[in-house]
Amino acid sequence: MNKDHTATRVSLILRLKNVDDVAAWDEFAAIYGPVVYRVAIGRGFQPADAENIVQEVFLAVANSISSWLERDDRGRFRAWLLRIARNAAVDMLTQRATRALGRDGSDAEAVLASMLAPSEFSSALDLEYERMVFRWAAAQVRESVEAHTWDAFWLTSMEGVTIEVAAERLKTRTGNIYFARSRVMSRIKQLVEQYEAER
Amino acid sequence: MIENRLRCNDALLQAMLCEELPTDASNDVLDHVESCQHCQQRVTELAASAADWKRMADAMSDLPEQHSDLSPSFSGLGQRPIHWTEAMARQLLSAPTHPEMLGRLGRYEIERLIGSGGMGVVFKAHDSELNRPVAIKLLAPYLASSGPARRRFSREARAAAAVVHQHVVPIHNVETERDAPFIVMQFVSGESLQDRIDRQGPLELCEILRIGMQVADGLSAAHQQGLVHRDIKPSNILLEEEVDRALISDFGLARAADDATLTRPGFHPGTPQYMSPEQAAGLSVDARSDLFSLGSTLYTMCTGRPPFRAENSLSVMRRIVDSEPVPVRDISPQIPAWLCTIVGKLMSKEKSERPQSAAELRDLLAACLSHVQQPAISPLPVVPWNSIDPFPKKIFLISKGSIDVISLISVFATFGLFLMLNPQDEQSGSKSTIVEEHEHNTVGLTWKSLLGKEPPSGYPADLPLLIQGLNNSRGEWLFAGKMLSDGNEVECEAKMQINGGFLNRVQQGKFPQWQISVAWPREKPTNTLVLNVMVLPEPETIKLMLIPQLAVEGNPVPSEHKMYGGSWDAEKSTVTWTPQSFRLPGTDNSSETASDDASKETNGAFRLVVKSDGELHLVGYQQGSFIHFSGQSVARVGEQYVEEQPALEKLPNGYKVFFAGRTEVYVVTSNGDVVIGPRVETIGCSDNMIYGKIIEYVPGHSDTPGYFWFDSTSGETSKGLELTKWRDDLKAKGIEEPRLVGPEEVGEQY
Repeated sequence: MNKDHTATRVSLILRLKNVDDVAAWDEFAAIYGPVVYRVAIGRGFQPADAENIVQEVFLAVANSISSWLERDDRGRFRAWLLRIARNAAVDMLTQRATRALGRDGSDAEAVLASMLAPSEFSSALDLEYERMVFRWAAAQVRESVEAHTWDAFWLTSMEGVTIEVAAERLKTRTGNIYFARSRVMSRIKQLVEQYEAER
Repeated sequence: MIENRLRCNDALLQAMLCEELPTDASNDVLDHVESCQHCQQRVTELAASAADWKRMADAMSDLPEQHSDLSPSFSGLGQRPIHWTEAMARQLLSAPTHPEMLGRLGRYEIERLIGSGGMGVVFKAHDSELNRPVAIKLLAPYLASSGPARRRFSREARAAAAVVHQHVVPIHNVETERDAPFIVMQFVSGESLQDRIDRQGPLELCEILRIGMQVADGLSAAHQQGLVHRDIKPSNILLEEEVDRALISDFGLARAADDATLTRPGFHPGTPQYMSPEQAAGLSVDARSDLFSLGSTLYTMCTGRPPFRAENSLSVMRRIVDSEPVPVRDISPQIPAWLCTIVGKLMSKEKSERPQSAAELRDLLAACLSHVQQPAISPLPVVPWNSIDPFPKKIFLISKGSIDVISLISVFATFGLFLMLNPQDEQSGSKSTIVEEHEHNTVGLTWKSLLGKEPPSGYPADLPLLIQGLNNSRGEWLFAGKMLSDGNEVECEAKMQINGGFLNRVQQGKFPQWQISVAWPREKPTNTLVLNVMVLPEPETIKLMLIPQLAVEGNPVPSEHKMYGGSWDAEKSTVTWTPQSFRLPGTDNSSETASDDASKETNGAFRLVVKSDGELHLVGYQQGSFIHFSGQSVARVGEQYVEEQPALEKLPNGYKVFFAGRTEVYVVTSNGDVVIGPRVETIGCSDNMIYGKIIEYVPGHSDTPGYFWFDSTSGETSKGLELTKWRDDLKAKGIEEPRLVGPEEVGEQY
């Protein structure tokens, strides 16, 4: 994503002894970075500030790793990551919103209007996270299915093309479109469930 | 209908979804489903609940502005470009006056959709007043409603219209007052370079040079007006039919170089595959960014595929920043070496290493083209930069020992020996002719290629597990041989230490990282060199870096060195080595500290800081994040070390390294072993021990401030301890208490 994340990653890897944890971290960073960024942008933060918030969230997570590693009952890494990142993100977002207000009086009203209570940030984060998991799953599936299978799904579900038009466009019979789009969706759903079960 | 009803069967549908039915049965199910609405609905429901379908649609519906273009090979992390359809486009237009037309925009009759991208759609249209074909680029409606996007679009138009050049698509008209703003451009009859490559694969040498030259020419005109295109790629280069003319289109994201306000950082408007490293890193870009993208475009013309590919845009961007592409000639051996040199130069990670202007490149490519067309009349031109041939014509190595790993050593040693014996290549700043054909410049990193035979028993067969194999080989290996360099046969002997860097991790078999040092004894030919090889396997790439240790006490410090960075291509099982040349600033004088100028000197991917007290040299390697200095220690820092210059303090047994910001610092002993974290106030190290006082959190050690020790032999570390406990520990280990240097003695840096 960017260098700072990479730096965090390197320092984390040096501390994480389990290679699966490293993979979990990478996957997590790829999903949660955009989540935090988008929630921040959605709440009226400047892009640079949003980037900073993302950095700080990851840094906070990285800095807490040792205490997690030392716990006997540490449980699943991903569950912990999600919890700690979510808390950090809520903190940062709330803090920054306040800071932005103090710094720039002219935008005070706008900032106030866009400011949310911590609980609202956290539900925004959760919603965005859920979406991102779907997108992540969709990206995975897209890589693993034939292009025309994906296209059948994409055209009909996301672009609102009718089954008939899609069949004509993809030069196949409509029956295939029904099944292809559902196969894709089914696999996305499975991946999402699997992801959620693992955490 | 009744018959159909009878055959409604969820189990069959489910089996069909799972692709478990034989063909004839599937055909029956398909026949049935096509005529049965109930089952059509059931298929959808069996796949996922209505709620999940909706969640999926929601998740995809509000994607931010995307990297999107016409090339289907790219896909982002859940970021799929919105595909425009004629139906969607038609909604934007008013009814056509002619039934064969798609619609109408003012005086323009829209004929057909010819492309779509992140910003909007492009139509072929007919200008009814001037009676000529035009291309119309229409801003996408979701962007038309956004103020910044509208402004960007109209600025794009103004910027592009200002560039009048034979190799830039001319802008006829700009309409920004309407609901959906649009630009009217000359219609170029032909295809895009992307289409051409898709259709016929790699291009002919003359074509590559001609198109490259023309694009450079067009860019040069834009650059002179302060415009950076920011999105040079094959799909933005149009090839006119029947005329040998390339035109740059879509200054879609072009903007005055100083207008940095609108595009937000972190948002990358270009297709990531052709981005420059600075774009990918979100840094500011200038004209040289376009030259990188043009380099990537030339690469694609040579090989038929883009240089950096990965499964999602983030990985693509990371590759652009971190790794070198597969050498052109591995894919297209017919491409001459000098063109590879040019492409490589354009694709230098560091922009100061690239040709500095499009005009310079244009002239060079023009001269190359004449050479190819008329070799008898036009000699191959001289390049205005120092070209480097990393591989000597001939080196042979004769191993004395019967050690299995000896060939492995020789693979690495080859580079080191060459470093020593080819000083004549190191005339910085001088002009040299483009290097002609040279030896095949890849080294396959397989057991077979390393050992010349299958791996010994007990060694893992899979390459990614090579790490383990090397780990098993830990110890000191002797290398002896002869090498031939420019006719001089030289006996040489080398000692190689495989340390299994980050020892304790490697032992666990979990942490795939190791380090090899190759040291030549001082009394041998010229300077003693130490090579460190760091290998960082990532899911798909392994990075190898060979770093010549810069200087050894008592030897003159050569003023020029080369460093080889290689990248491992798992697909092709090859390592690509890329030489980087760098000069040590301050080596010509013996001043106590490096001057500011010297410390800021950069070359290739490096930042150097040299305290030229004869011992201490620090090399930064931007992507691989090394700092490295002679003597006892190697320090390794987090990857964000790019801009900051580290400061060093010499301590009795080691070094203290400072970085601004939150960069973490690791100090590694000469054994290649670990590491101390940030804000360690005092550091010392001996052969086996690192010790110091923790002021703040130290990864892997403790959150507790206090004194700590780290025993690199056993891998044991202490927590932050009281001074008395710390002394007791050391005593128990039979270690003489080291002198700790306090902050008052080394001086506070941060």
